[in-house]
Amino acid sequence: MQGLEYFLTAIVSFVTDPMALFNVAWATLLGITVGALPGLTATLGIALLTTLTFHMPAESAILVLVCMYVGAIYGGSRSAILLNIPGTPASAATSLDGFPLARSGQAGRAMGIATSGSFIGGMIGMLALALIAPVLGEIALSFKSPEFFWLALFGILISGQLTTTGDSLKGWIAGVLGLLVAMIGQEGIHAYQRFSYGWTDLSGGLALLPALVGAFGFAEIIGVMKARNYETAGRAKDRIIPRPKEIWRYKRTIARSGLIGTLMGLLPGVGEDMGAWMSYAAAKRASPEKDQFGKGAPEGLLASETGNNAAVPGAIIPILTLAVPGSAPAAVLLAAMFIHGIRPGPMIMIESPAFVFQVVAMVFMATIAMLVFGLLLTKPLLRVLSVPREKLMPLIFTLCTIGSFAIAGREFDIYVMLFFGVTGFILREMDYPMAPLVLGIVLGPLLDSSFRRGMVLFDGDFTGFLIQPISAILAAACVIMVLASVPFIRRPVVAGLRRLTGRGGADS
Amino acid sequence: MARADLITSIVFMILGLAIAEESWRMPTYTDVGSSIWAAPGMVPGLLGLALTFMAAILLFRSIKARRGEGVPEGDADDVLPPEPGSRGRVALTLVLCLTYAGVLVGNMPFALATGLFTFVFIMIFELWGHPEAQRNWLRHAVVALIIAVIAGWLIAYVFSNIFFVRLP
Repeated sequence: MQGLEYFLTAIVSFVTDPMALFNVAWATLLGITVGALPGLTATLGIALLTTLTFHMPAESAILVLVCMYVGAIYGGSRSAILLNIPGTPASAATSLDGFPLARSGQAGRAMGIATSGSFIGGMIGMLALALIAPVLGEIALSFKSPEFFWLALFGILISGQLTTTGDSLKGWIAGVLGLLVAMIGQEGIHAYQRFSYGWTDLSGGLALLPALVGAFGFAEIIGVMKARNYETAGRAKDRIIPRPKEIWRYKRTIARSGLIGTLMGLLPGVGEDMGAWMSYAAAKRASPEKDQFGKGAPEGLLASETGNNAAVPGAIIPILTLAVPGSAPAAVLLAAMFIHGIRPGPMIMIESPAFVFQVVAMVFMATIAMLVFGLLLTKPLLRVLSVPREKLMPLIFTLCTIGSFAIAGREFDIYVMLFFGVTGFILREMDYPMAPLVLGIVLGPLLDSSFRRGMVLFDGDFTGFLIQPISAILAAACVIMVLASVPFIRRPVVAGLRRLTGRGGADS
Repeated sequence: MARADLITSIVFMILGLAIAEESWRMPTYTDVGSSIWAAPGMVPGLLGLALTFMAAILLFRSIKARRGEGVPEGDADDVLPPEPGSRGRVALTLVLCLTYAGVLVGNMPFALATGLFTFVFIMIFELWGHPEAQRNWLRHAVVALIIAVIAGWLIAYVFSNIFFVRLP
């Protein structure tokens, strides 16, 4: 009940503050635009916006970033439906049924269904955030070095496993590369400068935000310029306001997708893309109209959009309670919280329980704004989609450059952005996912310090990492995941999973 | 993809070994009573070895795939030829972006560098391979110039006067 009180207080404070309402409006709208434009992902949107919210009070800054996050994941559905190009990778599954619907002259209907799905998904995820975060926070209080070590390792393994198209090895290599990037700079126990070679800029380690702006901004720009030019937007002549009857018909799919999406968000570094793909696959499997999937089935569209937006609050749960991001955009949100002096992690429910419910209220406000803009502003959004990439991409790149620089005022960060952009593009071209890499950069220090502290504590006896129940469960999960990747064990497992999921996804 | 995997796996193996070797040479602080397990090189060393191990599996798999003994999953799209001009567009994007962010920014006023980059980027990509656009080049140039001037001025103004960021 205390939680409800915090939530309602936060809602009242947002609704009665014109500045907060203004922030919700512009940030959600900007988020939808960023999400809709191919080449601009949710991760990049939040990363660039973080550089612009330095001067804001912490609460307003996080509100703006949450709105950008919710808006961008939803906005991706616009281009998926109208152009058959997912604006963010999280909407890849949306294009499978959204685009055929639009091509048959039902673009308005498709956008209405996508908006309803995103709204309900967001609300389910929000409810899960409010219910699960306090419980998980309580459990996390008992976490010590072994639990944190296994959690970090589990995060890298599951993220590597679920964000690749059936080839977990490349996902894990990406994760280890991320962990290794995190090893650069001064370490926490002896203050030794690893891999710095006397270079002052390297001794502080590589900053997360310029790396993300490179991997998700510059790399994406190269990818967009590489591809064949996309057709300009289609037209939506039919009614966009969804019919409640049509949505109610698929109530089971909605509930299932909401739960799957939340779970995919909750798992470290998995996030919105898999939220959409898994929900889509589960809906297809359970539907009596399986053959309609991929040809414009409203149910598939609804599943995908409910799944990806439910994953947004889902991915915020581990940020708040464990300081472990549920997805790539959530990693930026986590970094932004640290920048603004908020310390998420197991202590949050004790130190500032009100903040957790403030974030729930922020998700609520963002989801409402997303619904309103999604249904009302269809024409201006169509116009945004017709901006040619030749004019848009140089502008985005200048923002990536100045954004990377603005974080600390160092030209070195521009070079970090360029390095991660080129490397990210090459890795992506070879099917290495970006989400485990990002998670590796975030979890590297945690994995490093918890392993070494634990080993010192247990005097080099690794069994100390296995005796507590939570660490034993996490260790078992890691071992099962690795064993399942061994070919003669994997084959029957993969055959089963293939039937379950249909296909894989990419990273957001 | 098998060829690309072959090359990257060798690169990753060398990288992993180099990291492990570098970690081995890091001080252990055991001489001041610290545990060997707390040594700074412990985790990066293990990660380097893990990278080498995984790269070795990738190497083995790519050699197997090249011999045609079995194509790993996810390689089905390899048979598609690259789209025409895509390599050129990638190279051009790289040259333009790296020149702007790596050379121009910091060596001339930011607004000027941004304007110049935006103008050149738009002109090259709009005219290259589009004969019709080449015939109307003046129209394209005017539009690109307007965008470049506004973008250069606006981005510099917003960052320095509204967000109070020192420009590079």
